[in-house]
Amino acid sequence: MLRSEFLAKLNQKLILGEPLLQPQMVLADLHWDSMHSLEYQSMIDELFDIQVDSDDIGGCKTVGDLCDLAQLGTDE
Amino acid sequence: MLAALASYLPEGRLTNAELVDRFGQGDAAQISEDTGIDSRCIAADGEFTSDMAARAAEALFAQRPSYRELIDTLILVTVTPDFAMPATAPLVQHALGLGKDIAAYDISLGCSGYPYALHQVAALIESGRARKVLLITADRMTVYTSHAGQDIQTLFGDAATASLIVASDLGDPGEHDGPDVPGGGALGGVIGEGRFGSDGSGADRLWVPTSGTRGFAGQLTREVPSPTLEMNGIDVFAFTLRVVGKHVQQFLESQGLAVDDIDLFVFHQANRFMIEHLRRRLKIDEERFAVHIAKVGNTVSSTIPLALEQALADGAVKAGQRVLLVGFGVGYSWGSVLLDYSG
Repeated sequence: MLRSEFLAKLNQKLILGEPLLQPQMVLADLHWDSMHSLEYQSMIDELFDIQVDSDDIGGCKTVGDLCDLAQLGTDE
Repeated sequence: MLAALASYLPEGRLTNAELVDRFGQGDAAQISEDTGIDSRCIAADGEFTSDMAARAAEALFAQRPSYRELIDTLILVTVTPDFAMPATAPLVQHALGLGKDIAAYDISLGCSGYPYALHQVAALIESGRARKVLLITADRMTVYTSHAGQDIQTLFGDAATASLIVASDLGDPGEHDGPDVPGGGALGGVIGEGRFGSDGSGADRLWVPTSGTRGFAGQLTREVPSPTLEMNGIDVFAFTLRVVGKHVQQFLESQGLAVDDIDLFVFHQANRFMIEHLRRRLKIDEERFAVHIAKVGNTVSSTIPLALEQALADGAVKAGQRVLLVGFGVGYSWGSVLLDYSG
């Protein structure tokens, strides 16, 4: 799955609206909370059978870090 | 045979609107959407685990009056005992006026407690060491949540249930000991095989650190020792994702069964978000998946019997059907038990 596809799905699941998620966005600026983390966990479990814990997510500062955690390559 | 079920729900309620007001943040409708919980039961001041346990048992004895004299074993599943010592089960034995020649003891398990206890009761009955067992689940969780944050107060509530489990050769106790009622009567659930797991590495992801000898008197003592539940919800969910789905699949495979062979799944009602995820991952139809959390909240060891009681009352379980009970959570601890409603 491309990063852009993943981010579109994540954007829709988190009901974040505009602007759409971009890898360089900082999670703190998005007011990322525990419910967002749970939705993210649920999504990557269903899509990729990847399970992550609080240390993994806590280490993510940007949306791109979340993509890396989901083992997504770049779109290029 | 699980012959009858009853429950006790305290009258007090904490609504989502009250939660939002209490913490000054959140949205009541969004809380309902996220958790599936509209309100949770709150025990009265001065009402504790043994009180709720006795009230659930009294509701059971209202269905099966003669069993007050016949019970030979009382097992109470709780993580909120009245005291560190003595065990709470003898307090319940005394409150109910049960015979002094019965075994009465606690099982200290939370969300997995009901399947574990059914498994143990079945073993006692199959070995001939017990014949008529009163199995109670009761937790006064709000003692531990009243000083916790909004995420925890949102989830947990107080409740108790009582199950009558008898040796199958005794027949259906409903035939001669009381009227047919929801959860009992002609429909008895034969306790089948079980599968269990434990992983204490997750102990501090859902716990009351200022309780018990190590927590209260040992190195973990906090400045304010009011026992308060602490939860790492992300790690608990990660545990659920890693373990519970595979556990269910492996258990079914070990029994030569598939998801489609189960007529009703009754999972621990942690919150709707979590159990809906598990339902989708296991490809279980909504119609075969019990959800009973909106008006009670997460009541720990009582969620499974409460949901089963509701399913029986709704006619969602019929003769000849197979039910799978799945508990998971604090410990970490998990377990499943099959119930066969042979009719």
